[in-house]
Amino acid sequence: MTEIAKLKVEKIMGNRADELALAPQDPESRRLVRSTYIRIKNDIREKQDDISSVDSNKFDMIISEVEELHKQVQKPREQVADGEALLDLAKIVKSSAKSCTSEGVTPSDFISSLLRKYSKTEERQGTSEPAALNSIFLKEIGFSVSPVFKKFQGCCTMLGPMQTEAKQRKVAVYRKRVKPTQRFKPEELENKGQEKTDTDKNISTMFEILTQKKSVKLESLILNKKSFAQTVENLFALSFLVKDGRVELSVDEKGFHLASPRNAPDVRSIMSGEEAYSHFVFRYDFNDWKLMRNILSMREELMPHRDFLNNSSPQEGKPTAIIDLAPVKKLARNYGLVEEQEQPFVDSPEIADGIRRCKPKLL
Amino acid sequence: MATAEDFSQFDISTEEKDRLVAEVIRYVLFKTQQNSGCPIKRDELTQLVTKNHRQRALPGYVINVAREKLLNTFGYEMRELQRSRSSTNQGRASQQSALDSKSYVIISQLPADVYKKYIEDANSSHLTGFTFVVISIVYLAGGKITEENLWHHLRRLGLSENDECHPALGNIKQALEALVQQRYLQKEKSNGPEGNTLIYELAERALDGPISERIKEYISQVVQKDGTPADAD
Repeated sequence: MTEIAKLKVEKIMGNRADELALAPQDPESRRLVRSTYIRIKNDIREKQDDISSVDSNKFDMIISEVEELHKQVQKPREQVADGEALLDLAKIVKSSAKSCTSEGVTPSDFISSLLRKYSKTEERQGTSEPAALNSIFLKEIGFSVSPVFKKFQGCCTMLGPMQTEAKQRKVAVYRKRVKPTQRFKPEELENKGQEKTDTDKNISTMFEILTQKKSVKLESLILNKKSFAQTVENLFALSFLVKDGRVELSVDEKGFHLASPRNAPDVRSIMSGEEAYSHFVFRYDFNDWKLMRNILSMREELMPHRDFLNNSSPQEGKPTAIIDLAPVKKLARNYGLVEEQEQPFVDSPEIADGIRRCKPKLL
Repeated sequence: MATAEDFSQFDISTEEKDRLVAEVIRYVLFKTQQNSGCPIKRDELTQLVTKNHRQRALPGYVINVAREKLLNTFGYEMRELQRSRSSTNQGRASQQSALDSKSYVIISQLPADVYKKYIEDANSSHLTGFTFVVISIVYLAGGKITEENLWHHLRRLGLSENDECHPALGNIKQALEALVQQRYLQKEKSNGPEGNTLIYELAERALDGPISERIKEYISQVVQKDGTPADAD
């Protein structure tokens, strides 16, 4: 074949190749190209640590694959897929370059080092449950790096009951009274149950303990060895029970103060004077609390410790605050609950007859 | 440092000054517990003083005296932090710098070994560990990391974003959110070609000098102690 003929054949073959490359693709091949890009992107996402590693040739393999696939890209959809794959690669390279500022230590290296250190711990602990391992692992890490943060936990104070702020007296607004007509019907409110305050919860818990134990030492009932604030809260809750007549305080022969549950006095005995309210001041300060702590052992504390920091994990061996109990009514002579249910001058037939008898007969 | 000369410009008695200082110290000590360690805004402390006093410079003076007293009496430093803006909002940073609020966190000044032995609370060590791990990951990623990337690393430690019943941390997503509230991290939404991306960045508390230095030190210790070359997963 002459030289000129050879050149012509090569040119024709080259043109044919270009024609093939530029030939419109059928939807099936386009779909194939896009699915290949998706596979490459997933690969990039999963193997990002490998790609950013200096020793690995994963980056070269992927970029070569993308380069080859790029030659088949004609339409915008495939161009977008190609651009996204390149973007993912560029992000990984960028984060790898940034990590060079931290002396080449990547987050992956750090995690791997932590896990390796922990595997030594696992051998020591001898447990194989993953969740338990995580907790121990985090605690160990936290303990060893605690000087980094040197956190201050703060001082616990009487939160809850003492958060109640004094409400300002509202100015009375008098509005014109509208006479109810026959069609007037007052709105009926649903009794959904009132929200319990912290004090109510403490009262319920304390009363439940007294119901079970019957007679307990006052120190055991109110003392919280870990917290002076919670001791005062317990005393506060006890004061409500005593005020309502639900708890009786007494002194035994040895001089110990005892608290025992009892039924609240009924209205008649209060009215008749059989039962009377009396007040005394219970002086209790921080020094008294310290003295009391020395008297009682840990097991004698009855009221559970209320942990505000870690509410999700109740302390072992201590009963949690009991919420769903029958409500302890706070009856007091100043509250509207103390009402006279019988009206002797209205319903009693004898008195009514007496009144009638006193009326002079009209002749 | 608050000096006697500074005090002389205010028309209040020494007793009143002491009372205000005590109120600020008391507020800081109890608020830290109530806030679960979140920084206390300077505005809140200022309000304690301006409630009853009009002098302009008095709140600043009282806060300075309270900081000295807290350090000398309790051994706690009331560290001042300037709220940092996200690096994606650099353009607006200069305009808003005047309004950026200062806040305070309490840091113990005890030596590391004494703190570890006597103060560190075993009940909250897991939170400290989680904080350190997250901050280290973000630091090593260049100070900024996407949410997806962060969870990718945390998943290797068995911490999943969908886990709501972790035995130590409970809801892990909320535990991460707590770090944002405590100003160790800040998060920013970024509009990208793939839609909205959430980016976590180190905030002022993690960027604070002493803490940042100690974090780098401990990271080096963890990586060096390991000794063996890292395997790429």
